[in-house]
Amino acid sequence: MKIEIKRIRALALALLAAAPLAACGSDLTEVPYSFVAPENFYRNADDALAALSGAYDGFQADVDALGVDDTEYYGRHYWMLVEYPTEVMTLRLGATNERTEPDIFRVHPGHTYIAGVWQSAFHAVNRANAVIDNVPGITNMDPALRDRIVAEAKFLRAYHYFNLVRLFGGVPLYLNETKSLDDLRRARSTEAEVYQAIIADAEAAASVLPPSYTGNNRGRATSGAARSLLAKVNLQYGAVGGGGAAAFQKAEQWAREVVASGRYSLLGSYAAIFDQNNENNAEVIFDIQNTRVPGAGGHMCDQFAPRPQPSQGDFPWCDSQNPSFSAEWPFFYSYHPNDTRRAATWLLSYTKKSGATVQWDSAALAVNAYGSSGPIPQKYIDKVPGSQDGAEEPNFILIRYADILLSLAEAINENSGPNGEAYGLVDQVRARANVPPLVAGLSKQAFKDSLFLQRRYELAMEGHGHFDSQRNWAWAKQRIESVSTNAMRTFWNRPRPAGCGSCIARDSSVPKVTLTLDDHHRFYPLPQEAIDVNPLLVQNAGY
Amino acid sequence: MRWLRAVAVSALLLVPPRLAAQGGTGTVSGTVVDAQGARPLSEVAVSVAGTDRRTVSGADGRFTLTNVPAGTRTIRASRPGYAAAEQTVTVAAGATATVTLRIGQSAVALGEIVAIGYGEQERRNVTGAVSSVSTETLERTPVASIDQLLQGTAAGVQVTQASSAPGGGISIRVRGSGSISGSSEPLYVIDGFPIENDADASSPGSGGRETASVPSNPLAALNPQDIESVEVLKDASATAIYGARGANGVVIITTRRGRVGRPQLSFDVYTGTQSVANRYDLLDSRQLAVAINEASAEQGQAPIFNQAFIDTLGAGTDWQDQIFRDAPIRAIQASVSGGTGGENVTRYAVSGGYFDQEGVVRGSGFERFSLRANVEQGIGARLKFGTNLSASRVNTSFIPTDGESNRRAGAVGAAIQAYPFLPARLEDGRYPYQGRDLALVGVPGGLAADLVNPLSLANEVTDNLGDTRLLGNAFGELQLLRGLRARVTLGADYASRFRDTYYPRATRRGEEAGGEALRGRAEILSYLNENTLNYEGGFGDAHQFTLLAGHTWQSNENQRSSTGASGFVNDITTFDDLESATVFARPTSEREKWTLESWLGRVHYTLLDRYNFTLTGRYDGSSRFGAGNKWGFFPSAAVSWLVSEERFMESVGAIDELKLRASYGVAGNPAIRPYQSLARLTSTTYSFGGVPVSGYFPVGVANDDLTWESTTQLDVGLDVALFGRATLTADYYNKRTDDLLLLVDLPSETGFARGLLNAGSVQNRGVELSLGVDVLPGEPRGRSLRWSTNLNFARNRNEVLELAGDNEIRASTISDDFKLGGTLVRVGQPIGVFVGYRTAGIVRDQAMADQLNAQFSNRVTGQAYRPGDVIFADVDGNDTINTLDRTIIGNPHPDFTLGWSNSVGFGGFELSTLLQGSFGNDILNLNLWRLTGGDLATNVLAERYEDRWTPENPDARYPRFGVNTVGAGTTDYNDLIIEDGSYLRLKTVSLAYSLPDRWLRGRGFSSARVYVTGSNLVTWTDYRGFDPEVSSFGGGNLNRGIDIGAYPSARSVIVGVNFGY
Repeated sequence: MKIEIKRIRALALALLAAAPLAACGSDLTEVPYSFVAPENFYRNADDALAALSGAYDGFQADVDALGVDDTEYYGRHYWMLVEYPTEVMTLRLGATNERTEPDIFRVHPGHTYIAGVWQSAFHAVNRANAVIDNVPGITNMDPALRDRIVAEAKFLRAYHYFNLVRLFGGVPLYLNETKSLDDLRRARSTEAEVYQAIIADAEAAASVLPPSYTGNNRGRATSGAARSLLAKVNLQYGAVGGGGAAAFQKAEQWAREVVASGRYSLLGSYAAIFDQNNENNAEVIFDIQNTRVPGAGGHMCDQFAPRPQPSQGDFPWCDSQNPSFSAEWPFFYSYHPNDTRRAATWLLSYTKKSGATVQWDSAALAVNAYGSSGPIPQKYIDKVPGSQDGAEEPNFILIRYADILLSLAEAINENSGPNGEAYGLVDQVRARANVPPLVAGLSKQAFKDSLFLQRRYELAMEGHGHFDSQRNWAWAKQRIESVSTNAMRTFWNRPRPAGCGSCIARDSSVPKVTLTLDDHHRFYPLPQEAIDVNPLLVQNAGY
Repeated sequence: MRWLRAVAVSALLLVPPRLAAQGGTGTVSGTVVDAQGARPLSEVAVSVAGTDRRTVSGADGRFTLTNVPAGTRTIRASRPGYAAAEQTVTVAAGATATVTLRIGQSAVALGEIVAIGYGEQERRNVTGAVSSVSTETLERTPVASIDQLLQGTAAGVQVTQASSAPGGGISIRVRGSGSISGSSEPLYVIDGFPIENDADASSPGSGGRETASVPSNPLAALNPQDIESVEVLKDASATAIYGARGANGVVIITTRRGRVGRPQLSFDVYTGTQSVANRYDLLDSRQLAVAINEASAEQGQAPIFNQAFIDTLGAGTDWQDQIFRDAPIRAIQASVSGGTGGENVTRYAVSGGYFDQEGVVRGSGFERFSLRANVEQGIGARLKFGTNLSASRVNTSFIPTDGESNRRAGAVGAAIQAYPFLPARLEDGRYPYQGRDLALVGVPGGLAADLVNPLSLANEVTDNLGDTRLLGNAFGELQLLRGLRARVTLGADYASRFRDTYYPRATRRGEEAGGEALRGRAEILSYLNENTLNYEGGFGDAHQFTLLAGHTWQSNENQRSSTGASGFVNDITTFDDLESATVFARPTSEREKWTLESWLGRVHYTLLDRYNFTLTGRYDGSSRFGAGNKWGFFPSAAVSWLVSEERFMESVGAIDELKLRASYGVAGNPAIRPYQSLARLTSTTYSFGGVPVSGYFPVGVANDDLTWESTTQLDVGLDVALFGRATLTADYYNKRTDDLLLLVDLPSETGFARGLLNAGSVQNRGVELSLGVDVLPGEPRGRSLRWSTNLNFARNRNEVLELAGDNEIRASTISDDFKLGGTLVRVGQPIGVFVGYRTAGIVRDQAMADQLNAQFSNRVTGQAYRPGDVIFADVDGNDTINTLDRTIIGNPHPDFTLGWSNSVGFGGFELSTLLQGSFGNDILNLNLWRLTGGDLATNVLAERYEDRWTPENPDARYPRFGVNTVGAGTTDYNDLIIEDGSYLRLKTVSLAYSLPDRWLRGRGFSSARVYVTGSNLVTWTDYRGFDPEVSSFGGGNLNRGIDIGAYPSARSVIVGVNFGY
C-alpha cells in the first residue's frame, strides 16, 4: 500500500494538536474546597483552638455526618438513661414504649438510646484524641497556650470516659486519634483500667489548667473543674470500680482542694443557679455552654415542656413536641414543705400563649389543662419566647459546688464516719434550700442514706441520678422498688377526667409493672449494634 | 495481543480459497428509494457485503461504489428506523453495475445502524447486547422527559417514576441494581456527551422539606422531541467502552440531524387534559364519628361524640377533591432541517419547543422552553466540523406534595389522612388545621394527628425550581487516510439551578415562623474533551476491521449554596427581599469537583461477513478514588456468529438471520461523591461565655485503597429473524459486582460511625426476550390492514452474595414519625427487602384466643390475644412473639417486567397501544399505617371499617376497630401494610390519522397527521394506593418500593397534530 508523505504529515499534525488537550487532565489529585483536610490543618494557634472547640462540641453531638443525632447525648438520651431509672423521674408513655424501658429497668442490648450515648461519647473521645495527638506538634504558637489546650482536651476525654465507665462498666480504651480503617477493633479494658486512664488524664489537666477564665473563655475547663472531676471519679471508683479505700482518700483530698480554693460558693437562692440570665455563676464548676445560635444551643424545651391541649403550639416559650420527662408523684409530694427546691425544680404553673394560666393541680389531676402527665422539670427550659430546638440558651451544669460539698461529705463519711464536718457540709446545702438541719447521731449507713436522699432533692435532673444509685445500691434498689412502682400504678390507672372528650386516653390495658431490681441493673448492657460491629466486645453479665 | 494474533491466524485458515482467488474490481452505482418507490432517500448507508466498500446516498438518493471486487456481490442499504434491503448484483472487472434499492420503515428492523459508543455499527455485526428504543411513536405519544421513553420499550430496562409530580424524579435500572451504597442509575450519553444523572449533586436544595422528597429530575431539561434514536447498552461488550462508568448500563441518545435534501419543516402541537387516576376510598364525617365512638368503646372509654352531634354531621370535607384537579398539558414544537450536497456538504437541524404541564395536584406544574441547533459543515470530502447545541429553561412549581405524616406531611399525605370534620377554609378565608382548630367544629382534638391543612400547602406555598441548561459540543473530523478518521470533540454541559421557596402566613409553617423563605442555588459545569482515531479497513474479501483508539478527559464541578430567613413583617416580598426578615437561617455553601481521564480502544473484526469479534478496553483514571487506586482497566471480549450466512443454512428459507452472541467483560461504577477517600474535618459551633465559636473535628477516615465497583458480566444472546417479518432477541446474563463501594458500620469506639470501603458482592442474573412481528405487513397508508407487534419480557434475580464482615446492613430510617427502620440488606437475599412481623389472620373468637394464649406469650404487644386481634406468626417457633420473630415480609424487586406494544393501521389510520407491567414486587404502603392502623388520629380507609372484625363478622379482613393493625411495638410494622405491587397498565393508546398525499400535494405539505392519545387509561393491580409505580425515596438502591404520601399518577388524554412541509 502506497502511503503519501503528505498524509503522514497530516496525521502527525493531528496528533500534535490533540496532545495538549490530552495532557490537561492528567492530574487526578483531589483538591477539596468545602472542608478541611488534616494535611492543611493543625498549623497554628487558631487551628489548635478550633480543634479544641470541636472537642467541646462533643457534648452537643449534632453532626449528621457521623450518624449522630443531636438528641443522642446531652440533647436527650443521656438524661433518659441517667434520670429515668430513679424514683424521681418518669414519663407519659406506656410500658411498651422504648422511652419507658430505662424507667422500668428493661433496657435490652438492642435499645437505641444506649447505642446513641455509646456512639456520642466515643465520638467525643475521638475529637479530644485528635487535639491531644495533633496540637503538640504545632510549633509556631505560645507553648503555654498549647499545653493548656492539650490539658483541656484531656479533661474532656476523662469526662466522656467517666460517663462511659459509669454507664457500661469497662469499655475499650482508645487514647489516640483514629487515622485509618485498619485494626479498629479492641476488647474492653477492665473498669479499673478505665478509671486509671481517667484519673491520669484529669490529674494531668489539674496540674496545667488555670483556676479561672474571663470573658470569651468562660466555660472552659479549669483546674477546679479537673479537681472536682477527680473527687467525683475517685468516689465512684472507690464505691463501684474497685478502687477501695485509697480511692475514697483521694476523693476526700481532691474535694478538699476545691473547697479550700475558695473560688466557689453556694448561691443564696437555689432557683438563681439555673436562671438563664445568671449563667457561669459562683456555684458552677463546669457546664456545657449553650447559646442561642442554631447548633450551639440546647434541646431540652422540646423534651421537657408540657404539651398544652388542644394545641401544642400554645406553650409560652418554645414549641414542645415530645414531653418526655415528668416527676414521679410520690417523690414530688415528699419534699419538705419549706423546701425551695420543689418549685425551682418543677414547673408548677405557666401562662399559655393564648392567655390562660395553668397551675399544676394535683387534686383535680388536671392533666389536660397543664398538658402533660405530671409536673415537668424546668431547670433547663429556655424561658425566652421563640427559642428554637438546638438553639436554647440554658447551659447544662455538669458539676456544681453543692455537688462537691456533698461529695466531700460522702468521702469523709466513707473515710472517717459521719463526723461534725460531714454534718456541716450537708447542713450547708440543706440550709440554703430552707430545710432544717440533719438529725444528729446517725450511723455511717444512715448518714449515707440520708446524704443520698439529699442528693436526689438537690441534684434532680442534673444528670447524677443513676450514678448516685450505683454508689449506694441497696438503698437505691429498695427505694426504687417501693416508690417507683407505686407511682406507675397511680399514673397508668388514672381514669380520663369525666367530660373531657379530648383528653388523652390512657391505655387501661397496660400491664402493672412490679419492679424487681437486680445487681446487673447497675450497668446498662453494651449496645448490640456495637457488639455486632466489634465482636471482641463481651456483653455485661445479666443481659 | 497474543490472543488476537491466534484469532487472526485461525481466521485466515478458515478463509475459503474460492474468495481469495478472484481478482479485478468494478463499480456499482444506483439509487435508494422508499418502499413505495416514490421518493429517493438520502443518507442511506450502502455497503458491499464482505468488503470494506461503503458509501452514503446523496440528496437524490444516488450512490456510487468504486473498487468493488468482481464477482457476485450483495449490496446492502440501511438507515436508522428502516428495515435494511439487500440486492445481489454481478460485478465485472472494469464495468459499472446498476442497482435500485428499496427500503421501507418497519417494526422489524434488522439491518439498522445502531450507536454503540464512539461509533456506530450495523446491527448484524453487533456482538453485544444493545436495545434500540423506537422513537417512531414519539410523534403521537409524547413524553415529558427522555427517560420516560424507555418505559416498557426495552427489555431489561426497568423505569420507575419515583414521583409522578410534573418534572418529578425517575429511576432506571438496567439489568437490576448492582450497587448498595452507590448509584445504580445508568450513564447517559447525549450526542457523545456522558452525563452522570446525579440528582443529589445537582440539587439546589430541598425547599425546607425534611423527609421523603424525591429530588427533581435533571434530565427533564432536555426535550424528548429532539431525539432521533435511543440505544441502551446492556452487556459488558457494549458498555466496556465506557469503562469505569459502564456497569449500570449506558443510554445513548442521538438527537435529530439534518439530511441532505430540501429543507424539511415540521410543526407539532398537542393539547390535553390530565386527571388523577385513582383515589383512596375514605370515611366521611358521619361514618368516621361513628367509627371513633366504636373504637373508644373498644378501649373502655366513654363515647367521644354524642348522637345529637353525630346527627348534625354530613359528609364533611373530601380533601382529595380539594387538592386534586383536572390539569391541562400542552406542547408546541417547530423544527427545520435539511442539508446541501455538493463538494462541501452542509447539514442542519434547528428546533424550538415549548412544553407546559400543570399538575393534577393544585399548585404543581412544569414548563420547559428548549432550543436546539445541530449543524455540520464539510470542507471537501475529508474534513468536517459540526456542533450540537441545546439550550433549555425549565420552571417547576414543586409545592410540598410528597412527605411523611403529622407536621411533615405533604399535601397528598395530609389529604388522605385529614379528618373530614373541618372545612377546607373558614369563612374568613383562613385554613384551619386539625392540630389546632377541631374545637371550631365541636370535635375534641386530643386524638387528632398533628396535620397541616392540605389545601393551604397546595394553594399558598411557593416552591419554584428553575433549571437553565446549556449542553453543547463542537467537533472536527478529518479523514487522514482512506478509512482512517481523526475526531476531536470539545463539549460543555452547564446547568444553573435554583429553588426559591416561601411559606406564607396562610400556611401553618409560615404562621409559626412569621413567613419563611428559602433560597437554594446550584451550578454544575462539566467539560469534555475527546480525541479519537477510527480506522475501517480490511484485507482480502474476508477480513474487515474497525479499530478505535482514543483519549478522553472530563471534569465536573458542582457548587451549591443555600440561605433562608423567617420572621417577615408581611408576605409581600418573600424570598426576593430576605434582608427584611428578622431571623436568618445558617447559610451553607459547598463545592466539589471530579476529573476523569481515559484511554480507550476497540477492535472489531468481521471474518467472512459472519464471524464477528470485538475486543474493547478502557483505562480510566478518576480523581474520586484513593491515592493508590486511581486507575482501573476495564476489558471485554465478544463474539458473534451469523449462523444464517453459513452455507448449510441456505436451504432454511424461513430463517432470514440467525446470530449467536457471547460476551464477557468488566465495567466499573464510580458511584460515589468526590473526596470520600480523604480524611476530612468538618466545622461546628460551640460557645464560650455566650459567644459562639467555630470548631473543627474529624468526620472522615482516609482510605487510600478506595476504588471502583467492578461488574463482571457474561452475556449469551441470540438474534433471529424469520419469514421476513419477525425478529426475536433473547439474552441470558450473569452480572456480578465485586468490591462494592460499601458504607459499612465502623466500631463507634473509633469515633466514626461509618466508613466507605470496597467490600461485598451483588449478583444480577436474568433473561430478556424481545419479539417483534409484522403480523400483517403493509405499506404505510396502504389500503390493507397492517399490524405489527413488539413484546419484551425481562426477568432479573438480584442477590447479595457477600457483605463486609457482617451478614446484614440496615438502611436508614424510613419514617421519623413512626421510627420505622429501613429495609434490610442480607446475604442471600435481594437488596433492600422489607423486615417485620408476619401475621396469620385475625383471632376469630374466644375459643381461638384461648388456644393462642395457651400456646404463646406475646411480648410484642404485652397483651393476651382477644377476639378480633391480629395474630402474629411465631416464626422462630419458641412460643413467644418477640423481636426474634421479625422476618423478611416483602421484596421490592419484580419477578419480571413486560412491555407489549401493538400498532394496527389501515389507510391513513394508525392505532397504537403500549401495555406495560411489573409483576411480583412488593410495596410498603406506609399510607396505610394510619388509614388502616386504628390509632384514630386520622381518617380511615372505608374498607378497613366496613370489613372489620365483629362477633358477627368473624372472618373479617381487618381486626376489630380500635386496635393497632399494622404496627408491632413502636418501631416495627407487619405484613398488613406490605402490598403486592404487581400491575399491568395500558400505558398508552393512540389513534392517528395521516392525511392522504393527494390532499397535501400542492398545498406544500409533505405530511400531516392528527392524533388522539390516552395515557395511563387503565391499570390492573391489587395495590390500594394511588399507583403501584412508586418510590418515595427516589433512585437509591435501599428503601425502594415505599409509598409515603407519594404524588398520584395522572391519566391523560391529548389531541395533537404534526405537519411536515
